[in-house]
Amino acid sequence: MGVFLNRDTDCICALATPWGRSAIAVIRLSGLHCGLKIKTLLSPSIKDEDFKTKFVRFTKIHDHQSNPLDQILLLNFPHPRSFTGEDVVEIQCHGSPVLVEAILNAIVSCGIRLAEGGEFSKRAFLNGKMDLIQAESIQQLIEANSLRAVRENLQKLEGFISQIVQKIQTQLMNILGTIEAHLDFPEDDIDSLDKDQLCRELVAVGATIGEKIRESQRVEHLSRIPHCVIIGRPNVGKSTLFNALLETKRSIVSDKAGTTRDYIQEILTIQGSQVLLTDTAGIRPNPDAIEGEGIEKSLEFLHASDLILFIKDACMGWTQEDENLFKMTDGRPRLFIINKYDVNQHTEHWMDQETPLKICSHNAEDIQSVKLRMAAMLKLEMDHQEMFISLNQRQNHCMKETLGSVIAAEALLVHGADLEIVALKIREAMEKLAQMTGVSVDKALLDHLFSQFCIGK
Amino acid sequence: MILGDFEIIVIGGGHAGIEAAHAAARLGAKTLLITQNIDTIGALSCNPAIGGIGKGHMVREIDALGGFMATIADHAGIHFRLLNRRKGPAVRGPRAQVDKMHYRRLAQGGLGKLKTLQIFQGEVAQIALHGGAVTGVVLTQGLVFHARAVVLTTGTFLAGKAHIGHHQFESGRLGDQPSNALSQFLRSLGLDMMRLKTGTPPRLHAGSIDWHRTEPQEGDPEPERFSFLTQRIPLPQTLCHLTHTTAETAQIIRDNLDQAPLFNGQIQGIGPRYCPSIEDKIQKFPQRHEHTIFLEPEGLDSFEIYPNGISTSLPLAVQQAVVHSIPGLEQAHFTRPGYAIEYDAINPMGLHPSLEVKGIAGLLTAGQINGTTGYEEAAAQGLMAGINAWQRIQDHAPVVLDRKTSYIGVMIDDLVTRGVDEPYRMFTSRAEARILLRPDNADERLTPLGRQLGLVDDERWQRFQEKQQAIATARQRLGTLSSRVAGGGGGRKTGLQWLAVTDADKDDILAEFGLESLAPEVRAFIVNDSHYGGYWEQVKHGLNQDKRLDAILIPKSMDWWQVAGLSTEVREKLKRVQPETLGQAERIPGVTSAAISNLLIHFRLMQQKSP
Repeated sequence: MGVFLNRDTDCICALATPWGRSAIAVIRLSGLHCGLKIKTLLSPSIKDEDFKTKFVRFTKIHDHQSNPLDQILLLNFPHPRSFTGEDVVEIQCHGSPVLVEAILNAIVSCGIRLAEGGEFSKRAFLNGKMDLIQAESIQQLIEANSLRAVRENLQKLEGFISQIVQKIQTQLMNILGTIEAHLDFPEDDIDSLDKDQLCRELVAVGATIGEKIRESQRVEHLSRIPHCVIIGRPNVGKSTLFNALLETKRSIVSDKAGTTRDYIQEILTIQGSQVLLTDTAGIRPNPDAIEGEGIEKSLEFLHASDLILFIKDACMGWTQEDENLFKMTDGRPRLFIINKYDVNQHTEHWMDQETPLKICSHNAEDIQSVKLRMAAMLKLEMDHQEMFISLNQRQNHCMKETLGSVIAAEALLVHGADLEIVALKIREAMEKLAQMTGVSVDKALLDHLFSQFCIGK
Repeated sequence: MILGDFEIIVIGGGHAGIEAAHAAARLGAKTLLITQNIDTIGALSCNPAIGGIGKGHMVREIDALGGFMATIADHAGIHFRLLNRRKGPAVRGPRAQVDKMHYRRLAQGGLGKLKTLQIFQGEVAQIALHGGAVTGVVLTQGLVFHARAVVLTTGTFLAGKAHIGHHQFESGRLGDQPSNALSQFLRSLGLDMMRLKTGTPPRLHAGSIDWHRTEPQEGDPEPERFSFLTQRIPLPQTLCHLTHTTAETAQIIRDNLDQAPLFNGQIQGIGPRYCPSIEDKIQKFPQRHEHTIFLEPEGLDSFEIYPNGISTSLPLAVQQAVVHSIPGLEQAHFTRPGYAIEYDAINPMGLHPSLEVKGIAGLLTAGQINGTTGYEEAAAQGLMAGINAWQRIQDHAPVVLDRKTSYIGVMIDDLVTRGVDEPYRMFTSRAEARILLRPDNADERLTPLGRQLGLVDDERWQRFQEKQQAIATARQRLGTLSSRVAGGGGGRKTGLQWLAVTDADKDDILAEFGLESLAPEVRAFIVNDSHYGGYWEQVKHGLNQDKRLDAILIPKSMDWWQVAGLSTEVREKLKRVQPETLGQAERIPGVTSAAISNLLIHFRLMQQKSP
């Protein structure tokens, strides 16, 4: 049985550029009136009839609740003059995975589904849009992708995700098997159907799926690259440390020129893992109000961070400003660093409970020891993703779609709909789930049927 | 010695053979049916019933195409029941118990009337071949008949071997000889063969049963007919009786499992799980205290009773003990023992969707030889094999039914694309378009095709058109708005929308639109068609999405190793099945969508390289 039940809408979308952080990401949509379908996400200045002609437009995109997401370049290619030969819309947005995911989610909420592997090419081919060279290069691409996918997916398939999917599939199979047995065998042959029991089982499956989605969302948060923020009052050597850690001579001043940002961020690599490092050098508490803008901005970073590097100048005493900042970081993972230790080695006693790391930012060995401590505190060497289920965009989407079908099945059952319609929805759920692992439903169904029910005369 | 020239030869007079011969002859082919025993043409070797859930659907489809089975079953029916009556219209299955003797008589009589059909009693030993194409058949006596197409419907006869306890003997059916020479010949052709198994219960003497200890079951007061043409059911209707196994039954079986050929290794063939022997049921479901047994008469005048539910191959003495442990059967006399039978079948993945054997032009197979079980499954294949034998001799493209428009299409696609690992029986759950494939709309789905092929005669065609006209008129009326409040719901709806409301009274709605006096079959169609509301559209729409892949033909001499980017596993699967369209390729389990994309691109490249 094919996956056709998922194809109740003919428009597809996908990220066309590689997944990850980049300057620009391109999201491609294809299918009849795909532009009109996402109209609600776009600026009202784009009219329905605009989609009839080719255009490039600099505009804003919103999520389905009208919250602005990004400024984008919108390209419209009406059929048949497009890559796939169908109506195609391309969205060029900023290349942050979080942003791309938000935009894709918004598009999906408009009834456009995520494309299957190779589906754009398939459509392009079906519409006769490919020339020889394109076809060959795409074939190589698919080949390369599937080879890589084989390696990458093998682990996943045999691993945790597939176990969970299997478990849900088995639960759904039990329910479907019960229903199918009652559809394919007359009343005399088997015991009567316990609808309440069936309903309870459906609710349980729905709860399991929901739990996995929520769990995955938590893990998604964890599995982002860790954020590390440098904090301390002015002139304690934050920027020096920032540069030293990055091993660049990057001048903060020149970075600030031409931008209005009051902080800078860079990706730091420690032991092969990436860490997002933020220097809050530009953030200063508003001298007139303690709850000023600067504090708020710092707080924002503090809450988003996985590790705080709190810097204190060895040459200066413990001021009220130090005290305030230090308090703000209480209870959070914190690495306390005393800088300029080479200048003043006199040990003070204002900090008994926490042993500070005493460094000189110009000393390579000291910088190395900061990195080691950071690695240890961020647990970079441990792979958390092995331990949780971490679903990618597609898998997460499959799970959500599955949940939708399970809930629909439940509602139908409760309202006394025909069992064959309930079965339709459960099959739909299973097909959606099967897209994560590629296990076919049919054979397993019959196996289940005959192991659970004594049927046939 | 050459006895005659024909266009199509059908080997076997079972349900597949009857339909194949009937279709071929009706299409105008000079047809010969060869059977080992003319008296057993149309025999119901197992249960005395036609139809059921999924099976009844197919009988309707056979009829819609202009086949034979539905008419015979209607005229031989003595106890009709629509199964799943309380469920949705797509899963209701017409079923009838039939008078076996009468069924056979009607089948033989019907075939005897066909002017282009000859019938000959004999055993075929070989298929005559020349240059990879069929030229005729050779009988065991050395007689030769010529034909350009041969339909093989050997049932359980191909190297058949019966088992009753330890006792095993060569047999095609109890009392009939197997076809061993033909089995050897097919193996010598290098066909991929397998061993399958089926079984049947003992038959009992009606006079020896204590009927008071059983529960009578009546047929439906308004019999649901199989054929769209049948006006009335001619035979008087009779009762069926129910009883059940007991704890004692289970104990007897458990005590004698070492004597069961199914469990002691004596039977190697694979049996159908949905038609389990009683020893299978007891073994697999120890928690069940009783299993229902249906006591079905073999015919109106017959003294034999078919105890449906105790198929067995235990030794005769154990069979008797088992039967005697069942309420009402304590004193029952056996008329025939239960037995299991093993037989040769060919791997259906070696067939084209036309049911022609790959590599042998003009040789088609149908029924149990293709790994199926059941009279209806056999008949449906026989019909398609008969049609395609005709197409073959006419040098016309084969007729392949779609999965989306018929159960017959689902079955044949399953057989040739996925193969079988046990005898294949139809279930409604096999059809992804289940809610579209109702028994009552089989004519709408298939009669136009039957007409186009030449199987649907003027009478059927006229009746069909009248019905469609009446449906169209009624639909038009129901398409208008009504503000009437039905079943407590509010708002303005069209008649069709009102009909889709689950608990609304259909008669009230039809009356509201002035349609109270619709013909029953028109009323049923209208009501059933709107039953699934929006889901109907949803399924239909989903099915149309990938139609284009079914339209892309794969060249016959396809070399899968030439396609870049396929895994070895996918290549092997494609090589084994040899799909004829990309749609079929996509349905092979394990063929990924990336593989399909690669195939698409491969074909595109081939086109460009050889303009």
